[in-house]
Amino acid sequence: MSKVFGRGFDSRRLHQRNREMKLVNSQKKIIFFCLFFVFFFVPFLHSQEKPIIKLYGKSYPQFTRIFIQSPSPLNSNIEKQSSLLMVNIKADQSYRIYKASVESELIKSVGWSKGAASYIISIQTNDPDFSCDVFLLSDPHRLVLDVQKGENGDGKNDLSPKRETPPENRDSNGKSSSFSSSQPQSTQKTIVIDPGHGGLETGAHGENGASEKDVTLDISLRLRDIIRRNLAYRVVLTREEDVNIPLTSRAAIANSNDAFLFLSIHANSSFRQEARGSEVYFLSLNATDEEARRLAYLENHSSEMEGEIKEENQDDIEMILWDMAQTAYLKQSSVLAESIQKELNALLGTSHRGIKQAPFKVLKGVACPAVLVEVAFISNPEEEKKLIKERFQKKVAESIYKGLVSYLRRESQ
Amino acid sequence: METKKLIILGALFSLLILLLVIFFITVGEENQVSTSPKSLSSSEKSSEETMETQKVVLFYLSEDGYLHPEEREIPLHPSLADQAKQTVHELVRGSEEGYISPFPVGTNLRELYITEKGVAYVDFSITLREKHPSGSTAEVSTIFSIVNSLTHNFEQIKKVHVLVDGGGRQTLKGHVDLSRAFSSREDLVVW
Ligand SMILES: [Zn+2]
Repeated sequence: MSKVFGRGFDSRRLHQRNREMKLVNSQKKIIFFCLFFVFFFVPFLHSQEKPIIKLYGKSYPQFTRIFIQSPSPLNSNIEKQSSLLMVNIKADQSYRIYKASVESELIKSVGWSKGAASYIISIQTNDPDFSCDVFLLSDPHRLVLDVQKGENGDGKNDLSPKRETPPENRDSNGKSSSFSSSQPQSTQKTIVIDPGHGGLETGAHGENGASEKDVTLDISLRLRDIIRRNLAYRVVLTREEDVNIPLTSRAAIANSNDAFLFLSIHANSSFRQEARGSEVYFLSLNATDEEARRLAYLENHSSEMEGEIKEENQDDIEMILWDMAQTAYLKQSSVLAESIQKELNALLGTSHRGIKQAPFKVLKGVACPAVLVEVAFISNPEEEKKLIKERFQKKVAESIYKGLVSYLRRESQ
Repeated sequence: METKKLIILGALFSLLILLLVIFFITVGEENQVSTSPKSLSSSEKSSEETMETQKVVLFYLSEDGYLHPEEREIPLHPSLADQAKQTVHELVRGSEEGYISPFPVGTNLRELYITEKGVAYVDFSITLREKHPSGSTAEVSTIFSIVNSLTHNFEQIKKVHVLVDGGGRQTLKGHVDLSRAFSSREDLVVW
């Protein structure tokens, strides 16, 4: 604390200062009073008016029908990622979400999370080889998803909902709003690779025009191939093309796939021209009172999380879980970060560089060991040149892979 | 049902009255206390002409990747919020000792306010985000240059919440989470 008041005050100034303090004090009182008012009355009105989104399902012999019911028309888009179906519902206000049992032979789990101005409902199936028909119903407003095993429909990847009645009895006749995909089924552990940025969200740029989003995708695809060739793990990418996926959805993809490890791949940028080398990060937390309280709550209540909490509190609890999921895995995340940093140091000749911690959004909600790998500095012209070269990308992917293997070895001991 | 509603309304109304009474009584007391003038020692008196200043420490980026302190004199303002504002104004103007400023050119402070719990809400112009180079390291430098500069100079400021263009953002530019307030990070500083 080196605060020095250069000169003193004369008494005139002091009086003026007192007057101003008085003003500030009474302003404080007014603010305090208003806050009191707000806290007392608003929840009263609010709790009665917060609209509800209901999730429920019905199982038929050939398919499972999932309903998403809302008081207002549903503005949504639907995306398929391997065995995961993500429904993104635009919402300008907050909702309560009631979830009835949706699980069936095909549907493993249904979860949800809150994005910036949306809710993301993630439907995890037991089999990546499934297809889905989408319908919109009104009165009440419902989005209906018919999920079934195997390919069906005309194969168009069009997931825009149709305004028609879903048939009660279905045969294999194609419907225009269906999509399909087939991937080999597996019961292996899943590693989720997250190529940073994408689409309009380009990330950092190099002086000579390289974009972070392209480099991250290239390296991620190479890393995926190396893991698939050498390890008995399933690999899921949060994106496989140049599209933007919201950060909360990336965590949701990891969690819905029951990920075992999460690797977010990035290319770094600094205000320093000279900055170079790799930096591997895991999540840092502000040890604030609020967070400590949340953690204590989670630790004390985790056993009763499943059944005993009242339905109306369920969404709050789930929000806390989603928001803070990574806190339970910080130790393992740091070990994983260290293993990868060591290999990248060897590759780039930055022998003494240690791992770092930062409050990165993408890591917060991930419920497994998770790291963010800054491969090299795209802001450094020399490293930018390397980053776009196939040879360097392969080497980086191999180094990350080696770090991964040494982590797995350490963990299995 | 109707009588129940009436009772609740009645209770709330009387609570409101009670709060109003407490409110005006405490404001009255405050006025009486603060009107008594404090005595000044002769050393604290000074001539009107010289501007009163205050020394603050600003944290800028150095080529070693760490934040380094730089002392600066700012005009002395009576309120904490104004002192903090002046400090951030100085910070985004850039280093005078050759350090690297982790702010895009044209970044301006829009507003700054401090809550009773010691959280400073610092609202920057959209330039901070739009002209930011993105990248994990760059974002960490920007954020903790601000956070450490405020928490170091004003012990009343415990945490700093960064806003852009009047609103909270998910991230600064794709990496650092801006949805919560930050505490200072001493491990990023070299003295
Ligand atoms: Zn990035």
